[in-house]
Amino acid sequence: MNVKLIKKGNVGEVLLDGRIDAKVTPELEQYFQKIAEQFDKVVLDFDGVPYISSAGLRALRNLYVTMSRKGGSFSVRNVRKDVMDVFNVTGFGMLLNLGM
Amino acid sequence: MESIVVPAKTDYLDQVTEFVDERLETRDCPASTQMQVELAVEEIFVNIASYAYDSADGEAEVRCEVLEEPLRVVIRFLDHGKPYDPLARAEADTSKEGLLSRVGGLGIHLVKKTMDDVQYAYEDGKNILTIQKRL
Repeated sequence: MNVKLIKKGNVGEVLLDGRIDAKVTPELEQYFQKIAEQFDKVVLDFDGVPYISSAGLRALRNLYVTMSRKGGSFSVRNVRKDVMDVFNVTGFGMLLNLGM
Repeated sequence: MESIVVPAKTDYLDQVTEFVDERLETRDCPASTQMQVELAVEEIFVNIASYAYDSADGEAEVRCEVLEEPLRVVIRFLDHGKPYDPLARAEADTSKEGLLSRVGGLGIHLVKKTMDDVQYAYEDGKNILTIQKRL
């Protein structure tokens, strides 16, 4: 799993590259919490993500909650079809305001 | 049916996934189907790794075979941990409120939604979870 951060003022864009499974999630979650402290708005670009499991979904949920609590925002973009199917079947499509 | 036995630890997920992928690759299975099978394998294996033996060491066995008519993969997970039927737990709450208040059961929810058949049995001191997916 590789991540690339693009800073645009108070907006942090994170380009994710790789599978988000149970093995990479603990590290990714720590990274998300660090990003959440630094920015008012976080955008995750999923273009390079071919796979996500429930461990990854929990990390997204926790980032969502952290950003909401601090009055910031969090969004996801460029989601591939297979990952979108996972979002839709688990309610994350709705939670993350992704077009279904 | 071919089989692999590994310590029930998340670190061994890749070995289990590769074992199943090798069997799928003998068939021209669509990439999205393969992803769904990998997802189900991860969810079930990680559940065993996380809960079956509490903090003690234990093993998980994964059996896999591809069957004809209809073409499908059958994967069976066995562990000697405490009896646990993941199919008996309450449905995951996938509403926005549900996801925000408590995230639980999403893994098995995904398994049930993406596989064609999921069966649980407890026999001879073993949890046996069997999934099937048409290829």
